[in-house]
Amino acid sequence: MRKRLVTVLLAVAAALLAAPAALADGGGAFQGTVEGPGEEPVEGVEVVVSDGSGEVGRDTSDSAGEWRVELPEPGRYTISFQTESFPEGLVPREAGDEEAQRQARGNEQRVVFFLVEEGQQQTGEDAAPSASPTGGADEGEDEAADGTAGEVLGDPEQTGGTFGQRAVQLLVLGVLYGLIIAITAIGLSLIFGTTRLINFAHGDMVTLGAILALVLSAFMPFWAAALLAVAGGALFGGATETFLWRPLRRRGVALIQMFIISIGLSLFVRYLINVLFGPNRERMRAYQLQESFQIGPVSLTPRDVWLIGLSVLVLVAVGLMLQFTRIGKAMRAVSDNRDLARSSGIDVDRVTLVVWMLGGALAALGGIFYGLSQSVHWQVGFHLLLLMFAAVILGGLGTAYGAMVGGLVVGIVAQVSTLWFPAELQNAWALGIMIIVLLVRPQGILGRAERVG
Amino acid sequence: MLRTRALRFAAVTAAASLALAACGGDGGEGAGGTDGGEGEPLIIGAIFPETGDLSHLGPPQIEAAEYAVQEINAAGGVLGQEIPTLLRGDEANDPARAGEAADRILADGADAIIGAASTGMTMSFIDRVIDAEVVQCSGSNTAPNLTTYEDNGFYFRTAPSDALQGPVLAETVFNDGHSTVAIAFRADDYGQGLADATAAGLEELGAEVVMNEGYDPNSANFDAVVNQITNAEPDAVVLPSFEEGVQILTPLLEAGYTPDQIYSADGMRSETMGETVDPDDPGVIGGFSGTAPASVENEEFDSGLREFAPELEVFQYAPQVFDCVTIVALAAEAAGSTSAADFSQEMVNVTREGEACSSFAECRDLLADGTDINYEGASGPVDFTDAGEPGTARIEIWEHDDEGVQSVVDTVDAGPL
Repeated sequence: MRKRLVTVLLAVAAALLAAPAALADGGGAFQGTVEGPGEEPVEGVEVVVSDGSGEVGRDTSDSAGEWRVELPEPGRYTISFQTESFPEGLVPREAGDEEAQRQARGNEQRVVFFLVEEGQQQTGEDAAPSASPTGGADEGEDEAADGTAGEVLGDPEQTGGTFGQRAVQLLVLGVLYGLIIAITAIGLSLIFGTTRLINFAHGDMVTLGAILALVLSAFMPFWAAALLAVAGGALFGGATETFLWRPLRRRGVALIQMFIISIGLSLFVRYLINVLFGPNRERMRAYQLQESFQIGPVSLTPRDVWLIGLSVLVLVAVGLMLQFTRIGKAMRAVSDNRDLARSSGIDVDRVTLVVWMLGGALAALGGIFYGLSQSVHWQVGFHLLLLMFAAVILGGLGTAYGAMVGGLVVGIVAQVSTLWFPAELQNAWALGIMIIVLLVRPQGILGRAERVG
Repeated sequence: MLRTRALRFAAVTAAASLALAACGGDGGEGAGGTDGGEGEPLIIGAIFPETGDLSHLGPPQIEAAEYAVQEINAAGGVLGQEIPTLLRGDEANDPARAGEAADRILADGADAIIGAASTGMTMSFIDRVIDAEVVQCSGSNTAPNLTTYEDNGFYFRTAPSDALQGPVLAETVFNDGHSTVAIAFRADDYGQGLADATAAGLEELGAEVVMNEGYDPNSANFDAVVNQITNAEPDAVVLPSFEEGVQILTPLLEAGYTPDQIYSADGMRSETMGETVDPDDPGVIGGFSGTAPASVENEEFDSGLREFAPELEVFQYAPQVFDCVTIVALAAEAAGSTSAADFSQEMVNVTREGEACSSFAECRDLLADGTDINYEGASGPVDFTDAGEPGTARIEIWEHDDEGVQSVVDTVDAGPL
């Protein structure tokens, strides 16, 4: 009586619970199903479980295809499905499947046994890898698992995809990624344009923004924290210019030294953040775990849509600012030719300060966006830095529009490449494209060819 | 187990109080434990992650090593000499820095190096340690390829190979009713080793592995990996990841997967995973589960370590590291020498076949009587195989509940293959 109750409970529990079913006393049990070619349960198949010294138990599959054998102790057992009890015309999915060695570990072990039509049977070799064309039998297996697990799985309509659908989905993800890279890279490019400094610490300005927003959002609404973090980024950019780069320029320190100093600053800021914030990854406190929705073939969270929209807005605003405002024109002038700009009456130091503040603010904003879409940790910016450099160089050094285009190309190539190649290589492809573009167009996509020498 | 633990605790306490008493006197007895005492002291180095992606695994290992040294010194040291302060190095999840740390510690004359925590970092300097004929023992390297690595008998580990953990992880997934499984692993020795062992286990059970692919753990963006997983349409996902796995776990939840379809292992096991995913509602990962080599389930060791390092929050791999240090010390006692070339021969012997003992003091006294010993460690029976690693392992299955709190739901013995 008790045993039957346990059996029923376990059959349900094993399928429903994520946890393995409660430990049975002693050696645990094998608990299995026998399935036929059309995923239907097969009744009446006899199962004998034996160890080295002989039979320890036997059962016959019931109308649900289920059977169960209690074991005396953990150990290695042989499970034999008795060939003579198979229904007419059915054979094991793989030759030799009717005899299986299984390790019992004192808990409830699930055993699944498939029967297929004669002639559908595979030999041991071509069945071994998962990629084998298993056809109907495997389909049955999937369905059966879905059924018994009683779960709504990853919503097949939503996630399934032809090549075209995947391509569109990855393209959209690439655009999102690319826009974020673009936002962070504009500052890097403008700073290089106005001061000829390759600012290695730019990545850590991104991290700073993300972490400021994360920390501040504990005390205020997220939008306020984000605004403050952007202001903090601008402040940090302005401070490094005022107290570090301007004095260094005044003293005539060469660019290569300044470049090394920026590496030092980068390490200092990064490890300071590591010490203060800790080494763990965290998620932003707002807009998390949203349910995805479907637009055509694309599945996105509302957060992603907002990020894409806001990013585009920011990029357009920066573009308009550079194109039409006084300070924007001055930035472009300084970027084109610092000396000429100075002699035509532009306050170069002030423009440089504004560029640093703008760069810092955009880096911080990019960091917040990145943190929302991925996660926040002390190396966020460092991991993004190479891609930012790639974006800047690809688009054309020193031009803000170039950084935007370059960022988009890098992001899209990185994501779409996974259609054909392993995800491990996604950044390699992005950087590979950069090399190819530079071979054809050394000044970058939007860069202006310069005469050297 | 319980009985030996009680014994060990008693022995440790007794030894500690004796040693303390001795220190209070002239320290005369402290150096008189065994014969020898004229040779060099046993110098131990330790390379653990103090910074980098695995830095959350650093503190328990560092404290466990320091704790082991304290226990050994309290019992009179090795061959009558106290072990000097550990030579510390930072593996930093950076092969170059791990290598530097190893060079420095080797140059300082270490006889044994404990660590590194991650297999990748161990790989970055293991050859130098072998060439220098110094013993290396890691408490948390689990990659299967280290079993057959040509180490001339100098590399040991107290953590079980993932060849043992993989099948248990596979069974955990399969027993829950999942038959189509996708695996996305961090592309390093750890991830690859565990992923392959798990995939093999799943296929043996009759499940279909629809994807088994690595990703770059330093990638800035994991959307493409998530997209690959959802396109494979698995009904369970296994993530042999470190902490970066949270960037795959969260989007999977957003894509409609439930936490009980997602599995991981020791690298992503964290009490605070729930808060990481959603600070306001840690329960969202209720059902997320995985395996890990059993960590502290050992009251005496646990309370001893807590007393030694009250601020410690994570205990993963602490007993394994403790055992590494103790086995090195016992091997030196057994060989009567603190030279690694001599005591490396004894490393395997002291862990198996002989009279069981469970603390340094107890085992040392048996050795002094000429008895063959079988060290029963804080992490389990240890029992090294000839390859210098545990042949069996106790694997625990952990799961987060609806409050997001993690607990061990089952413990199983894996093993010999």
